This record gives sequence, C-alpha cells and structure tokens, in this order.
Amino acid sequence: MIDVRNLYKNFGSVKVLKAVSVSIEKGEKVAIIGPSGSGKSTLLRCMNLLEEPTYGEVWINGRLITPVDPYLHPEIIMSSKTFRKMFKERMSAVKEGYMTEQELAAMLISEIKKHDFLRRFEGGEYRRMMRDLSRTYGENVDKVRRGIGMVFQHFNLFNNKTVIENLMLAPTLLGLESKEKAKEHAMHMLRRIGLEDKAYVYPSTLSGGQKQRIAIVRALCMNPEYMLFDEPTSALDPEMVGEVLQLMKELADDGMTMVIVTHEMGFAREVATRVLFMDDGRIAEDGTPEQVFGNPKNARLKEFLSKVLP
Amino acid sequence: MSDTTERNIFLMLLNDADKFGRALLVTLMIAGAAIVIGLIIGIVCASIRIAPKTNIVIRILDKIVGLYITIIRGTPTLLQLLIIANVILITIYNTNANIFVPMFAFGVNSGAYMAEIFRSGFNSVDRGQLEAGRSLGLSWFATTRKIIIPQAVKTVIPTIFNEIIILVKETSVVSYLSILMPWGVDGKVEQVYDLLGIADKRGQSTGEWMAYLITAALIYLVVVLLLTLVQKIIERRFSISDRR
Repeated sequence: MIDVRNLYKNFGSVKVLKAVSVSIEKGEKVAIIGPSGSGKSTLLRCMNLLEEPTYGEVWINGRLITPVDPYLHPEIIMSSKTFRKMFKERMSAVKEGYMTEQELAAMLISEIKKHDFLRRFEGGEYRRMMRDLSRTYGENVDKVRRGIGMVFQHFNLFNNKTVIENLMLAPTLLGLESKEKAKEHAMHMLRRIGLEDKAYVYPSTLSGGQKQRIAIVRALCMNPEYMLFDEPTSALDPEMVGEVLQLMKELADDGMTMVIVTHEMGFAREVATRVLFMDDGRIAEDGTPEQVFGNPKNARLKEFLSKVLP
Repeated sequence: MSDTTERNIFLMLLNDADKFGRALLVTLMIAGAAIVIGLIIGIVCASIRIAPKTNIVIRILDKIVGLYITIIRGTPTLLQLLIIANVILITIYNTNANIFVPMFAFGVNSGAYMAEIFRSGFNSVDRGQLEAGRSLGLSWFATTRKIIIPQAVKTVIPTIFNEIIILVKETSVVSYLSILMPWGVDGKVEQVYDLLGIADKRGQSTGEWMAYLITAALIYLVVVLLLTLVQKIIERRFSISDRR
C-alpha cells in the first residue's frame, strides 16, 4: 500500500501540495487528473521521494520513507517542550474546571499543529520518540524505490548506454540478477514489446514511442510492485501515443498497481479503477471513473471536464 | 650579403637546438605536472561542490572550495606564482625557486578552473538522468558514477583541453623566475629555462631576438596542435552514443 499522509510541498513560497492524504491499495489503477500546476506530478514524485515533501509522511508497505513528521503523532507533540510549557501555562483552566486535562491537551495539540509551533530542539524525550519511530518504521529509500517503477514524461533513458544496458543496469548493479540472467530477462521483455532488434542501439536512434516503451520495460525489469507514470504520453507525437497506452493497458490487465498522472481522459476512463482530481494542491475529488467523469460534483472538476472532454 | 646572414641565423638556431629541446622539456614538465595536479584538485573540488549537502562536513568543505576558487580566479596567475615563489619558499623555507614551484603554482591555479569546468559539466547532464537512476533504486553515488559522469566527461573534454592549452602557454610566465633544477648535471643545482625563457635569453645575447621568439612561438604552436589532435581522438571515442 502507498500511504500518503498529510503531505505539504512548498517550492520557496509557492505551496504546491496542501494537506494531501491518499492511500493506494495493491491492484488499484489510479489516474490523477487535473489542470496544469495543480500538483499532480509533485504528488506522484513525492510517492517515491524524488521530491522531498515539506511536511507529511509517505509510507510504502508499512515502511516510512520520509522523515518522521511530528505533527502527525500526537504523542510526540505531547512530549515536546513547547507542549509542556503551554500545558503548564493553561493548567489554570483545568483547575478552575473549564475543561478536562484531555480536552486541554487536544486543544493545545491542534493549536500547535495549526501554528507550526514545534521547534528544532524540543528536549530529550521528544528527540527519543522521534528517533524510536524512525528506527522502527524508517526504511532506506533506495531500497523501497526498487519496488516502485517510475516512467517519466521525457523517458530519461540513459543516453550513454545501449538499450539492453539500460534494462540490465539496475538489476545487475544492485546484485539482484546475474549478468546472464539479467540479459535473458531484458531480451524477454524486449521481445514482449517487439523491440528485440533494438537491443544494441543507443537511445538517440529511437523514436519517442519506442523510447517510452523501453523506459516502461526498464522499470519492469526490477519486478516492481508499483508503477508510477508521470504524464507518459505528453511528450509523444500523436501517432505514437497509442502504442504506449496499449503497453500500459496490458500492464494494467496483468494486475500491476499503477498510479498514472495523465491528460488522456479516454485512457483514464477505460483503464483506471479510481480517479483523483487535483486542483490547487488538493485532491478535490476522488472516486471511480464513472463517478468522476459521469457525475462530477466539484465545480472545478465540471469546468475542467468541459474543457478537456470533447 | 643578406644570404649569408640568413644562413647564420639558421645555423645559430640549429646550434641552439639542444637548448630549445631542454627548454621544451622544462615547459612540458611544468605543464604536465600542473595538468595532473589541476585535474586532481579539480575533480576533488568539483565532487565536493556537486555532492548533496546532507551533512555539515560537506557544507564546510563546500565553503572552503568556494573560497579557494574565488581567490584563484580573482587574482592574476603571475601574482600567484610570485607569491608562492617569493613569499612562501624564500621567507618560510629559505630556499630559492625550483621547478616544483611553477608546477605547484600552475597546478593550484588550474585546479580552480578545472573544478568549475567539471561542475558545469556535471550540471549540463539532464536532471532526468539522475532521477531515472534514483527511481530504479540506485544510490546517488552509483547513478553519478555510471550515468552522469560518463555523460559529463563527454561535454567537458573540449573545455578541459581548452584549459590545458591555455595552461601550456601560460607556463611561459615562469620566464620571470629563474628556475633552478634540483637535479642539474653531475647532481649540481643548475639554472634552466623554459621555452620563452631560452628564446629571450639567447635572443638577447645574440641580438637576433625576433628569430628566437618566432622559433619559440612555432614550437608552442606545434605542441598545441598536437594537443588538439589528441582532443579530436578522445572526442571521437566518446561520441559513440551520439551516432545514429
């Protein structure tokens, strides 16, 4: 499961993601749609930490890949100096019987969250709790990324490597497969997409569609559990879009868990099991393709669909 | 009359062939050592500058490297050479300038420029290449080593050769210093000259200054042409992945 919790991402003063939470179960095919600048790509790139969130946590299969976000853990907030100081100051309210201790604590926690009151140094107890949590659940991000394939808008094939070297590089370098095994695997994958004759050429000789299909296959060579697609057809000539979408559809039919940022509404409708509509850094609508496309509730979504759907 | 004069000049130059040969050797030794030192300093400094600034040590080193580059690029080479030769060697170690001074001085000088060249080469590689490597689970270091550096090297070669060529010619600045070779004939310390130095000296003592200077110029030109040839060969070897 990919679990995104209360994610914020700021680029300088620009707030790109605002309190985004979403969990994606295994087997789901999630399409993320929305106007440009709404934070779709940033959200996707935060899922494998190519972009580091400003606040919030990302959990993959129960492992935490971001630093611990204290604001998501009330017990950590309560261990902070700031909280304890505020608690002592407001104790009179409890003594005079206006509220219970629990109510006061809850109030202070929400106040601290709202105003970003936590500082860098919040005492030994706080530090210990942060450390324990990240020791228990934290995971090296490079390790987690092995299980999450990513496909980019601009393909990003390794220009200094031949096609087969592109496919073999990560599995062999990480010691997951022997050279022979990796080569066999890579050739098998190339045959699957009908590009085995391109095995020994450099990416610069390929068309966009071929590059993107090879990029997809390169990610598949790691046998990932999840695949993230960042506008995979946006940089392609129109006549090449079909072949890439076809391959993605096959992948979906094989049961791959997929998260796809796309402008291809037809594809989203056909392949996705769930559609997220993002607007202004938030998930504005979340539902099945039938709900989102057939019966949109959000005003911005209606406006967006009227523009992009024929 | 004029015919004999021309022959005299020619004979004179021919007689000094061994002097020019040794001067060329001195120039090439200084330049060669400076290139090696410069490349090492350049690679180390560039690595520090491009490394992710995750811990305080890297950040401090980065600041130091930044300062080094600023100082070296902000002051004339001759001044740096004179400071190293006069201030450091004579006042601190109480020894005269020897051939290691220009080697060291030009190496340190060139290192700053090479660091910037390597850094810009690294930055010229599309960010997507690094992201693709990272997304496959490769570490920053592995991606940089296998993907980024091979591509950066390709773009850096012309600029590095540019720097090397400039360096070879800039070593002529040492004719301002008298260079003492520590391993002179019969183990004695001996004064030697670089290409420009010998042309200057012989030109003055024979009165045929122009002829000597032009000879030195031609030798520099040949050296640079040879370097250009090497550059072309290397560039060709690195351009395989561009071929269609």
